[in-house]
Amino acid sequence: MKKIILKIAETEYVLVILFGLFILISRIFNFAPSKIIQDNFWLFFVEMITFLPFMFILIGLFDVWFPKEKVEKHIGEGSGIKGIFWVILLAMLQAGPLYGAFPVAYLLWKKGCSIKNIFIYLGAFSTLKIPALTFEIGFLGLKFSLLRTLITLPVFILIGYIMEAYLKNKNFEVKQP
Amino acid sequence: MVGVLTLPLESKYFGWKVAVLRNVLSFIGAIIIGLIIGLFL
Repeated sequence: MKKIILKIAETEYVLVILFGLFILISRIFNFAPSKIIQDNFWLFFVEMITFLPFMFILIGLFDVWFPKEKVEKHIGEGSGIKGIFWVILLAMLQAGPLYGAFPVAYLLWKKGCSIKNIFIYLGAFSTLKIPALTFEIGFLGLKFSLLRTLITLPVFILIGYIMEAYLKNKNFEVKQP
Repeated sequence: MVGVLTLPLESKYFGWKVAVLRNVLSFIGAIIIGLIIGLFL
């Protein structure tokens, strides 16, 4: 028993278990904020569970259908502005929260995408997704969205270049956890 | 662009140093974007 507990404590499941215990105990003692915490947890949990399977299917198909040479040619080292354009387009067509983008980033890396384009992909994914843009236009107006997009674009492309300059000779690799 | 809650996950893909660097750069970038938008609107 002690061994099992120690083993669990070493993994990240310890947080999940502590969270469960916290909810349970706060239910027993009628701790008021626990209601909000539970609602929030449920909201994010549903988002994750409905969206991640699709992401994994897409990643699987991408892995099988797209040959490495083609990906490398279009968004790999020395692909220039065209490569940037393709990764931004790829990011714009997706949906979901940022944690869904990391497996895609790993796959892009595996297929020979350049470092710069991986970070540009992450930047574009978090700021230029079309589903998020439609929400933004609805809430904040077309003018705001257009302006924000135009200003954001050069910023995360610059971040991509900075990351590449920093990581160039450092044997950087994207790992699969 | 910046995700503190996803940082542990991100670090599993990129390593802690790179993940933190990307977030810090994104944070600075986000502030710059905000300031520029403030100038225009």
